[in-house]
Amino acid sequence: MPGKVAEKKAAAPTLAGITVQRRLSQLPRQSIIAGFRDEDQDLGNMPDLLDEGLRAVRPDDQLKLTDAELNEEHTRILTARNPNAAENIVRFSYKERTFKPIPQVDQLAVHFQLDGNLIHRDSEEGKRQLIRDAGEHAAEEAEAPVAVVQEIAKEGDDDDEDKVKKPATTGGKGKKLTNQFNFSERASQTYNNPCRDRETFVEQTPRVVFSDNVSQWSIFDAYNEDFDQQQKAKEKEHKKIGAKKDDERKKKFVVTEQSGDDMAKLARSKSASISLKILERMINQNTFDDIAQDFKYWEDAADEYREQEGSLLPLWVFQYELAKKLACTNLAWNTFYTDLFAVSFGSYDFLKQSRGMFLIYSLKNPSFPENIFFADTGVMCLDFHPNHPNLLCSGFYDGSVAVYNIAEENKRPKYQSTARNGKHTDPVWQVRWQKDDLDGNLNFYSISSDGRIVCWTLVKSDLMYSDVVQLKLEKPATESDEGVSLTTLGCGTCFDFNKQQDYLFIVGTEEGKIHKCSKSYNNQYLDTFYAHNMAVYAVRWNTFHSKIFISCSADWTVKVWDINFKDPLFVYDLGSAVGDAAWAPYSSTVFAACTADGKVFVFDLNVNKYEPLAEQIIVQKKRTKLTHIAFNQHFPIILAGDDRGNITSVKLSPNLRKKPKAKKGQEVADGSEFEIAKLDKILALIRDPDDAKTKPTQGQQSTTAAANTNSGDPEQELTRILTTENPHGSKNLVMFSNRDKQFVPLGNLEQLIIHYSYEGNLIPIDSEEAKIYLQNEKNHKNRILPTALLDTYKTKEKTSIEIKTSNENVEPVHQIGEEDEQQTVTSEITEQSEFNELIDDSKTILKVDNLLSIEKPKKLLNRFNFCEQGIQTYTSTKKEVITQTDPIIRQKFVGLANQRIIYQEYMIDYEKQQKNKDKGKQKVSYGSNKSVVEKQLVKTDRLKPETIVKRHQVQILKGIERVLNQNRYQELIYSTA
Amino acid sequence: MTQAEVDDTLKRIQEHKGVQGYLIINSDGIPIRSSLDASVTQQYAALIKSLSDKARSTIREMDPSNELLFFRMRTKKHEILVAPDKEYTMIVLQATDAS
Repeated sequence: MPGKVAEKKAAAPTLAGITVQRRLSQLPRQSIIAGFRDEDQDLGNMPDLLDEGLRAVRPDDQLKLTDAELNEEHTRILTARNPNAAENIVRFSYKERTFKPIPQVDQLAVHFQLDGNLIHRDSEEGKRQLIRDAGEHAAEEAEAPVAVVQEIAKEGDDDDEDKVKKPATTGGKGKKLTNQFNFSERASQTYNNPCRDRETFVEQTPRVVFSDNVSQWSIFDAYNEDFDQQQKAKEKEHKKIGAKKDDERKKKFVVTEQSGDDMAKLARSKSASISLKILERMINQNTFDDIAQDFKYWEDAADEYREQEGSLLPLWVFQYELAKKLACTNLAWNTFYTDLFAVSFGSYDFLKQSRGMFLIYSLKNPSFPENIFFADTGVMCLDFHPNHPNLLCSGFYDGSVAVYNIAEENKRPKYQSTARNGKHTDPVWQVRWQKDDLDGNLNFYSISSDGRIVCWTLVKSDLMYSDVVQLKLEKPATESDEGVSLTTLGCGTCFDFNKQQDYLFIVGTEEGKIHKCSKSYNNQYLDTFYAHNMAVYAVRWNTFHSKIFISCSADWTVKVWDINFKDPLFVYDLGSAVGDAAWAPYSSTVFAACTADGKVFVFDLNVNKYEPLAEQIIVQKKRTKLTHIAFNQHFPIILAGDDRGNITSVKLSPNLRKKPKAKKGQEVADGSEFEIAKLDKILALIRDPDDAKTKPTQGQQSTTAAANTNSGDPEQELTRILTTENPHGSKNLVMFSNRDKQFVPLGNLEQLIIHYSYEGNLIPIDSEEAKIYLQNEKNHKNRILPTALLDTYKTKEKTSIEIKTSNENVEPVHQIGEEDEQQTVTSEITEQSEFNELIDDSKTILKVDNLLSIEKPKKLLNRFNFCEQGIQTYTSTKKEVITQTDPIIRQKFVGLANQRIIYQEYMIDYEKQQKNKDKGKQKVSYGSNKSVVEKQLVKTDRLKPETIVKRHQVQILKGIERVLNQNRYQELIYSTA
Repeated sequence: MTQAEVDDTLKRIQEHKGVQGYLIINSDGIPIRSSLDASVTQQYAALIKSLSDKARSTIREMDPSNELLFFRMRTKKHEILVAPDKEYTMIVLQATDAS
């Protein structure tokens, strides 16, 4: 429609368009359409109407009526009722549950409605508009025919002015007066928007073909990540409210963290450092594979053939470049991680004091320490806390002590003593953690050569100290009265706390004395032992027995003591200054010591009381002093540190960690009680029974009295009196006597102890029993019993005869039975092994007699207690078993040929060709002795396919086995230490 | 760990008996540190990365809460030790003993 209008209006001046547009904009759209219709009517009717006044217009098709008809009156009554309105509309009323008629119906009917858009000329509005238009006349001159109507245009331009001036007379030919509120001109001019092409060139977005598989775990990961992020966001919100400052600081930190290249990022990534560590350990595992295998599986096979001897197998040597010129001053295994240990380095030379350090090593990485801590002075000692494996206390040469948290990144001490709070004035020789005090604070003890033993307590961030004991020297007897006596303090070098009695501890001094002290008496020793002639280097309580301890000294000796006795139980001279001695954690009778000539000694009192089971040089260079030694709690290895910064680990052979064989019919009692009993048994052998009564009282009387008994005489304890009295037999047994109606002491007690009994299954050849047997055999000769090796036979025979002689010698008391009697005596002999020498003499004589009397090397068997070694087993009947398996699915396989496969194919082909060639060659060259060549060929051919494959498989199996073994040993590899 | 420590560790690794070289690749398979020559590095980075991804996928498929930490392959000529990590994968080539 607008298009049509535009056509019609084409001739009209553009100015008119503007005004029209303005007006148009004032009108609502509906009326525009209405107005358009009006104008159509105007075109047809208006000129007539205006020309001929208000004459009725008669259309052509109008019915023609006569006047009479026209004048006929029709009476019509107008009512307000609409005849077409429905009267019977009903609606269901829910209230009354019936249909109800609606009484009032709308009576209004609208047949036609038209909003006019013209206003009357005489009306107020009209007048106003006329005035206004007149004002604008000059501008509107050219566009007089406002309504763009063709007829108006035809009438010519000349009339326009008149028409406008005399609109009343000309009858509306001039300007139309429009209803402001409801008017629309039809004409509208629109711009045709010119079309323009606009082009921009952009860089092509990079495209990448991306392919990935989505698996369950990746979804799982994504979810987890999302969850974590949400969690983090939540936390952040919490934090934001709390502290904004903190956040800012963090931001800064993050910013700095993001800078740097890939390697720096890698260094910061925690997981990357862990995997780097794993990698290093794995390479170490490969490099030290043979040692690791030895560590786990090597058992000296020779130990089976020797009784009282063992050996030490050197394993890893721990070296660190910066510690090379320092001496190892202490070794401590971690209490939680069995493969972790700490080594402190310093110097024992007074003139060559320099820096110090301590290293944390793991057996899993022997080539480099896990952690390195540097100190300005020598580190003389350290100790891991038993319950907090990350806490390590250490003592320094300058007298200070410190506590480190080795898990922390910064390598500064957590606590450190200063000159103000009770620092020692001399080197600290030993530190040891103690049980938490009553307030639950951690505390440890230190000993120094300034004569003080100090208890350090960790209270929040402070290190509190309290002197426990001051080592006072006894005044010399020949003290002059002149002048004031100078109180001097002894120099403590080592101490150890009793494992059962918390308060009790022993202190070794540079003067060679050992003091028995208590935490509760700080000015008095409970006891003093004049133990050594030179400085005591180490004192250690037995792992199991609460009364036994060991001490070692620069005077070349190691001594084992009972806390209640003034004299040592055992004294060993090791031929060089003994740096350290330690009890084994697995046995109460085993201890090890290391000396300044580079030897490690291992003793087992249970096996040999006089000689070490193993004595071995383990240092690599001559004149290297071993300074310290430490047993691992878990593995059968010992660490030994020397004065050149090396730590050597050695493995104990089976003989050195042997447990005594279980007696027949008696269960092996494991644990500490058994170990205590074992040690007690040995001690009982060497202790004088009288001594046991007198000594303890004497010991506690006074220290001066004890000075008379000269200590350190190894010969003294070797003299022993054998009595028939059993020292362990209880002497005060009572029994209730029914006759006397009271308890009566038992007079005769059995004094016999059976330490070992073995029921033989052979009988002496000249016994009654044997004679009958031999007789029988002579007669029948049908069956020869399995004869043992000549050797064993002989020895057996020997012992049986010894028994006889000893029987006569000792005491023919028990006459129980033919064989039983002999066995009991055997046991007696083993118990009183001192008789051995005596018996040995008689043995040699009797042996000769015996050899003459024996003709047949035949065993005579004890009928009552004999078992042939042949064992009959059941052979299970064979059954054929058929299992049905699913048919193997055949599938077409499509593979990608990559370089490797092609290479393989070529190789196979090439080998075939080569073979053929060889065959041809051989045929040609050895044509004459063809049969030999063929034979060879056959032989090699037969070897090839099966045996080689077999060998190959065996190799693979071996490889797998090795890896499995490795894994067993390395089971802890992933627990990050 | 500081970067110096990482460098030290790598140096120690390099000095071990039989170690032919190491390389570290990031999660995109791009080598960021290598002691091998360029072509070999490229090859190892590309091939080992896909292998370790596959291996990790295998482990995770079996138990999503599990994680691959380390694997090694023993070959006729050398052993390849691989420590795949979320961001970085470390690879070391170590010659196997002649025995």
